[in-house]
Amino acid sequence: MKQYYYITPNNEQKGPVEACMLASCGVDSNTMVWTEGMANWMPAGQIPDLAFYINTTSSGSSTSGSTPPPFNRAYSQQSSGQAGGNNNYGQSQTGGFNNYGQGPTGNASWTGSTNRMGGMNMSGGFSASKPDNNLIWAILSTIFCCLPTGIYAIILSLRVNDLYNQGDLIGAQQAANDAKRWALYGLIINIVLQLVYAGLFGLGILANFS
Amino acid sequence: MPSHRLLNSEKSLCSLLAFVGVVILILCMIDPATNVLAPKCPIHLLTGLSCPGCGLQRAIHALYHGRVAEALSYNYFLLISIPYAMAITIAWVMKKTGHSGWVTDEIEHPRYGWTFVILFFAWWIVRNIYHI
Repeated sequence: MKQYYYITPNNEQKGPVEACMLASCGVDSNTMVWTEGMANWMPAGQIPDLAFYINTTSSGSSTSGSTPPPFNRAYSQQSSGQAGGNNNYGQSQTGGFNNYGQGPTGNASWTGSTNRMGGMNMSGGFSASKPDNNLIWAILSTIFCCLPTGIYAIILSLRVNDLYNQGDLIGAQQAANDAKRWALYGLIINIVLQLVYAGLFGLGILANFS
Repeated sequence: MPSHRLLNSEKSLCSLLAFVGVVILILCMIDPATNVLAPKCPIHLLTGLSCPGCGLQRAIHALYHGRVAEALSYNYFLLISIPYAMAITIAWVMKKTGHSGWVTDEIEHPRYGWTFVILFFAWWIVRNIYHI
C-alpha cells in the first residue's frame, strides 16, 4: 500500500502514513496530500486511489474552514515559481472571504492578511509549490562579487530541487531562502569593502594635499 | 491574483536588466584598468591573489572596443561563466513566465552546477600558479 504525507490544519507536514490510516489521522477530501510519484500536493478528494479510504464529505463540514485555500492555489499555479506560501495564503484568503471589504488588489487587505499569517512567516515560510531555487542570484553573486559566499549560495540552491523531489518541502524552501541570503551577503560584503577602499583612497588624497 | 505575480517578476526582471545595463554602460565609458572609480576586487585587495572573476570588467571594456582576444585573455573562465550565467538567466525568465518544465530542469540540473563549482576552484588555483 502507498504511503502518504499530509498537511494538518496547522499547516504542518505529517506522515508518511498508510492510505487506510489517513481517515483516522483526520484527513478528509479537502486535506492536501502527497505521495511518491505525484508532481504536487493535491486535495485527497481528487485522488482516485484514496476515494475508498477517506470520508467524502466536502465543504460545509466542520473541517472545511481549517483547510486553507492556499494549497489549492499553489497546486493550480505550481509552475509560476517562487512567491512563497505566505503570499498565496494572503491573496486567496482575502479573495475568498473578502474580510476587509476590499478587492483582492487592495493594499490594506493585502498587508492585513499577511500580518495575520505572521506566525507562519516566522517558521521560514511554507509553500506546497516548488520553491524558486534562486540559482540565478547565486551565480550572479559569484561572478560579480568574487566572494566564496556566492559559491556557498550555489551549493545551497542546487539542493532545493532535490529536497523538493524527496518531499521535504520545508527543507527545500529553507535552502532556497538561505541561497538568496548568502548571495545577498556577497553583494553586501563587496559593497562595504568598496566603500572602505574608497574611504581609504579619499584619505590618501587628503593626506597628499595637506 | 495572477497579475500580482506577473508584476513582481516583471519588476525584478526589469531591475536586473537595468542594473546589468548600467554597469556595462559605465564599464564601456571608463577604463577599469586605470580608472579609480571602477570597483576593486575584494579578494585581490585583501590577499593579492587573483580571484576567479578578476578581469571581468577589463574584459567587458575590451569587448566594447572590439578587442575580443584581449577580452578573453583577461579571464579565460568567462568562456564558461558567461554562457552558464546566460543559460540560468534564460531558465529563470522561463520559470517566471510560467514555462518551467524539462528544459528548465535540465539547465538547472545539479550536475552542471557542481561542474561549475569545481571548475571555479580549479581555475582559481591554476590562474594564480601561472599568473593568467
